Amino acid sequence: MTAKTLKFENVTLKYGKKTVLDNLSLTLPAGRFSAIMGASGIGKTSLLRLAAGLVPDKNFTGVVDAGGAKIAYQFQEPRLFPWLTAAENIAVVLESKDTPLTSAELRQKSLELLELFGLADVADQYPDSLSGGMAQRVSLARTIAYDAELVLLDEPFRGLDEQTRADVMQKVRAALDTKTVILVTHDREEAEFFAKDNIFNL
Amino acid sequence: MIFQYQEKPKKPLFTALEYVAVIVFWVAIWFLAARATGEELLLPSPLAVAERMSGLVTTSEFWQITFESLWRIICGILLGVALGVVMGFITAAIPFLYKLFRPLLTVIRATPVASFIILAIIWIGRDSLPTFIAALMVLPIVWGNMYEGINNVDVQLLEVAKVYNFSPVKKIRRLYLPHISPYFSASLKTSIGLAWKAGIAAEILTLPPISIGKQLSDAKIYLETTDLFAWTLTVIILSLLLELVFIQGVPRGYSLIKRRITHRSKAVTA
Repeated sequence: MTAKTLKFENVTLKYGKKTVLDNLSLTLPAGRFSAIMGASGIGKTSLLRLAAGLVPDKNFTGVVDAGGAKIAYQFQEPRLFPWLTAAENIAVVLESKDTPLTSAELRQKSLELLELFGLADVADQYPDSLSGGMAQRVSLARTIAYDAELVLLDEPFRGLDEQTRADVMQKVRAALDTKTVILVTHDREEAEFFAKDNIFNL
Repeated sequence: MIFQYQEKPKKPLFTALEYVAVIVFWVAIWFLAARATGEELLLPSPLAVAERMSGLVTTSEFWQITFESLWRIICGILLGVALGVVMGFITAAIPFLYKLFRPLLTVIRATPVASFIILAIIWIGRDSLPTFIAALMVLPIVWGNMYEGINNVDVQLLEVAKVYNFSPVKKIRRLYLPHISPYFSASLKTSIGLAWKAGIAAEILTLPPISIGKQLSDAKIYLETTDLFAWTLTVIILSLLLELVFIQGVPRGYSLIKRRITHRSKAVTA
């Protein structure tokens, strides 16, 4: 699988009368981490939503080209399915018609990912019984589980305590090493950890 | 490490003993009230009703009558549920149709059952009327709830489904069905008792020869208050049974058709 470049050409995005992105052109390199920084409300999340194809065409002008990549998106909120357990929330993005896995294989893979983030013992719990930080990590495990070529991370480490955060950051970096990853963050340290030479200020 | 799936335990409001005690209490009140009245015609005692009941259940007519009424009304309930589900989906998918049908829904909900029964006698005749009335009770409630459920699907989860390329079938199975099922159960809960009672009322007015409604009507004509109570008791018991079958049965049936994504093997060594 080849990593894809993510290109924005002359993108202008408006919500009603408010211009969020004004004639933005930006190329994010393939196969490595890029960090997007900038003040709140400046359009960092909008950039990710554009890349993920979640903004209706009528709302923006210009070109957003992700090269038809398979995309994984870590939203700011965990966005877990409340009726699925932690393990099933991961399995749900692993099941696919192209490469069908048996339910035992799905289970196994999900457990491995949960274990990576120290969540093996909550595998069969439903999201409403998880703490915010746990739900966030389950959600990160889901993002990593999906076999994507382009990974969008929107402040993925928010709400994690200091110790967990350092550990999770290491693991995320290792897991997504060869992919095109766009990280949106407020935290300079975090940006440098992932994308030393690739920090874009909006 | 052992993983175990735990169903959230739901604490029942009553223990079995409390349940029995409460029933005994009210039957005792009934008994005392009947004694105070001292007039079978106004208020028969629970003993007389029980005696009549036990006489009735040994006759084959009782079972035939009960079965015919049940069959009529269950057909109506199923018809109403089926139409309600279909219309819920269609109007949720096509907003224009919702706007078009909305007044109709409001009118059905606001029209007194008696008006419908009388109108329907003129429109469709006596035979299928209780079925029609039962369907009419269920339809707007199921329809409304399905519509609301579909429209309240979490937009954030829809985005997750979109990003992760869920196929339409997967989207329905993993997102819509689990989301809608509580709305569906709730609509059954409110509508089934209603449909059953309205169906019996329709029978009383249309008098199908073999029906609970006819028995109730006869009891009124011949001033057989004990019969009236016995048949009413039958209606109550069947109402409870219907709710039990439909409401307890629905979530269970749903979890049976809902295939789990992963095996919850009894013990997985991690």
